Amino acid sequence: MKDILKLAFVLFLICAIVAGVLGGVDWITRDRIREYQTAKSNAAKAAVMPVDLPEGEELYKELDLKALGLDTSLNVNGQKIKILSVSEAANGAGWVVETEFSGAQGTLVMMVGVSRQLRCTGISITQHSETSGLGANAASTAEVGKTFRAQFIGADENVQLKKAGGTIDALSGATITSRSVTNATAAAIRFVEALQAAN
Amino acid sequence: MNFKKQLKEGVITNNPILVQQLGMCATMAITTSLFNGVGMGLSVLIILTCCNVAVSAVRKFIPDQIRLAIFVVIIAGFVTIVDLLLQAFIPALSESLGVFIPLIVVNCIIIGRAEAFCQKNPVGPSFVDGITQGLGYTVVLIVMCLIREFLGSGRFGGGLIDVTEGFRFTLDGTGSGVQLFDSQYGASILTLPVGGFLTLGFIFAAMQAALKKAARNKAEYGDAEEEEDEDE
Repeated sequence: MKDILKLAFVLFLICAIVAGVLGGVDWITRDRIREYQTAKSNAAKAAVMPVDLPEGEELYKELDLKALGLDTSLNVNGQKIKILSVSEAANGAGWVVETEFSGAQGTLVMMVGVSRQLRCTGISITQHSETSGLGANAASTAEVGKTFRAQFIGADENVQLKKAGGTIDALSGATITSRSVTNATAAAIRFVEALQAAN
Repeated sequence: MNFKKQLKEGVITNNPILVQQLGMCATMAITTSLFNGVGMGLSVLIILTCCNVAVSAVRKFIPDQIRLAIFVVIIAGFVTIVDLLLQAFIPALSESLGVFIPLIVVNCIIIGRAEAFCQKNPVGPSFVDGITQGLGYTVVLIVMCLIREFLGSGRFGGGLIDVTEGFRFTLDGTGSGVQLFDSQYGASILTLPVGGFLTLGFIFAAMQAALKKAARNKAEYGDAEEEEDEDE
């Protein structure tokens, strides 16, 4: 009995010390991490839908998806695309839709800017686990990624790969990734269309 | 304390990956660019050194029955600290390594060294052990990154070196790397997870051959001539 108490006490003591230290580190890093995440989310939105407003003002207003009562799971060309969030640009230029869908390897999260005229104003992939050198090029900051993403500017809800009779050049060696990005762009535009119709 | 001997053990004769064959999962998963390799290697080195020192310092107060539980708590603590610090100060590295930083908690190298070395040795040698074993791990990661990046996509130093506006080092992972040949001629299988297995297998084979050869030389010529072992 005494042994067990001693074991429990030692383990408790070590856990308590570790917990205390972690609390301290969290206290130091918390603000920086939150700041970085907000900045990252704003930067991703700004990349697809620039808003020119003085610093310090709220640039994007996130809408309550549940309150909108719209279908957040869309089916485009047989692929399921989920809408994670939608924000309205404060200057009224349009919306930024955050989509989630499967690529070649795993789940991608992508921001799509959609103008009032239901045209894509840009896409930005914020999360992916695609193959380095192939599908990952879709999110790359190198020229190949920029060129690929620039093709979507001005696209409408029927955007397709060239292989399917559309206008988008697929990334070489990454047709699946390219197709799912194209489908997600179309889904985002259709979602905004439904959003406008509902208002 | 014999630093030179421990260094040779950590990097060559008792290398954590190539000889002890520990912690291979992360090794194969993250060695796709030099930035990842160096970042992961240094993270493991720091965590390993801290854990070694902590485990060694408390080794006399730890009851034998619950030592593993205590090791895991200590390791998890240091890993979380490094994870939070990376998220706050080098977010690019934190994003590109993703889940493999938290997974260092279950990296066998760290608990293996705690169990095999630190609970029997004082703080000084344990500290050195952390650094030398960490270096051994980092060296292998870097070699794997170099091979996979070069043969897979014709690149050198991805994320760490930027040449788009003159040569400079980038610490935020945005560097383009030096393109040595067009990436479409690369064996892109090497950038896939299976390429990690292949590369690691070949490095294992080379290392075993080198170690065998060194042992044979030693047996033939005595200790007079000691050969330098190379990974590749």
